[in-house]
Amino acid sequence: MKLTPCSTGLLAVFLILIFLAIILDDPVLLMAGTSVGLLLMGLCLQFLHTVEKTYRTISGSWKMEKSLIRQGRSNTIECTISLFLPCGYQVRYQDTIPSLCSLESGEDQTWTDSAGSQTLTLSYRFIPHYHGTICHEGGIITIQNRFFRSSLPLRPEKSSTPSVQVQPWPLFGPVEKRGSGKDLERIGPVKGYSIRQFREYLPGDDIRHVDWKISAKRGTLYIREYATPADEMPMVIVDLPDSGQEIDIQSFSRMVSSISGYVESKLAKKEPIRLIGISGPNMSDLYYEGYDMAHCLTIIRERIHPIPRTFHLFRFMMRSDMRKEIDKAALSMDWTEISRDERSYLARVREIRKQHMQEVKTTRFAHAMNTILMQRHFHEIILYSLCDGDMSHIREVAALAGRKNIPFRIRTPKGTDHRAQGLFSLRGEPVEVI
Amino acid sequence: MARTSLRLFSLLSGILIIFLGVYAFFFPDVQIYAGIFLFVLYFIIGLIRQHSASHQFFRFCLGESAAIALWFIAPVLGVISALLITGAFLNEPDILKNRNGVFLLALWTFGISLLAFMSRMIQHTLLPGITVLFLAGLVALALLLYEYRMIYHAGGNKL
Repeated sequence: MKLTPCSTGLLAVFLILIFLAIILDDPVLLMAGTSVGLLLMGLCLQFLHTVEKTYRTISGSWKMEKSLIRQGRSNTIECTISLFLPCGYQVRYQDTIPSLCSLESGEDQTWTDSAGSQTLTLSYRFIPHYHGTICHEGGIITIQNRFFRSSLPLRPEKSSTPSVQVQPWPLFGPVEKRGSGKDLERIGPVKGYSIRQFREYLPGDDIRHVDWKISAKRGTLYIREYATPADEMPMVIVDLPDSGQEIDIQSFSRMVSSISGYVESKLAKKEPIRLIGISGPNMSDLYYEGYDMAHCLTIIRERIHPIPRTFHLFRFMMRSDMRKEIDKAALSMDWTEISRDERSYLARVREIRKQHMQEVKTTRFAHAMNTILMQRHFHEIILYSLCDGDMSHIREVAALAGRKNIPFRIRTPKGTDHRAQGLFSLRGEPVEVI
Repeated sequence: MARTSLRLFSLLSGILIIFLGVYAFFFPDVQIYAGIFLFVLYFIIGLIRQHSASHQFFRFCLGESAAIALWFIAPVLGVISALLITGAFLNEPDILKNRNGVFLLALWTFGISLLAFMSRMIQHTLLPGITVLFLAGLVALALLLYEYRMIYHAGGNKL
């Protein structure tokens, strides 16, 4: 509850009269002050009572124009509020624009001061800047008279909460066409590659792979798609940020757009992909394999959000790095020109690292990733990450991919400063800035 | 309705001024002239048809000072003039148009009459003044809790 200038003035009069009465020791001033105080309190009580009564009469309904839109496209909210307003009161309703959305056009607030049954309507367009399901949270209703002002939330019923699903805007990068063009010609069916499926011709497809027989039968051009012997597919790993930390929403949104673009470009050609989620060194339950566009896009929309991390590597040193350090120490110790102190230091380092390697086994994360990579052979691994903070887990994945001879790339929305890379940041892993 | 109320309050103010004039004639005192002057000023300002909140508040303050001046002469005069002034002040924003408003004014009249009666018994104002401030704080706290309960039941405590 807020005081208007009128009630603030009354409060000031009350206090002035009381203090004057105490200073001047005058009972008349005390009584006059008390009467003003009583008036103020009575008005406040009456106001709150009226607000409570009015609030009970309020009912609101909200409607969204579309239930599924692309990120960056506008949608309309229509709102109708009906209420019974007593004399001398004014009501103002401000609709809460959904979080991470901006107002495009229209008015998001309305008011009336007419007594009796009233219906307030408003309509505005908003633009979502983030993917996911946006539930409308209603708005704030402010009831005021000449003396006081009170704001109360007005929320839609849980069962009738209007919502809109926001699909990330696809960011198409340079899309590599594996299995088409020259490569496909070279590795044709004679080399043991079977036809995986036929699909409709898309602009950009090699005309030499048109299956004329099926095209003639169906009346439209059909393309042969070949499968490799191992039916290789790309694996997209999404490094979900920690929900407990502040992230750059714009960068994250750009990353999701890039994932969406990559996935859509693959699935449009009916090429299967595997999508898995990690969050630092934690395996997420985000998993998809196949080429169902709608299902995969729903997963991207609903599941690719920051999640809480339960485990952190905290600048975990990789075993390969430890091995390198032990070898380096051994080589340096063989060198005769080093001092006694340096020699004892190197011996100590070697001892510590060896002991650590014997006692500490591989991480759960490395074990889980290794199991995934053992199951089948992927023709490439693309890891999407914000690349902020500790990146030991990314190096673990890169090392595992390297061991399996799988091309590995990191895509990040940020321009990482490679000069400042330390022991625990990326070291030589290919990074593409989205 | 508003115009009728305005006429009623103007009529009552006029009657009070005439009564004060007669009272001053029979019981001459310096303070009563100040009260009459302030009340006449209050009445004249009321004739200027400005319905803004600041104008009404200024008029109320003027009337309240007139009521205090009259209270010094006779508490009954003070109570009557304060009642008239407060009634006019509450009538402007349509508070007296509903039953609750009328009940509030009636209760307030009872309270102020009680205070007028009690003011004769009070010798010193220090302790009563502190008590009034303390009670005002308690009432303000109770009102805030009432509002908090209302917001909580409305389904939000983020305001």
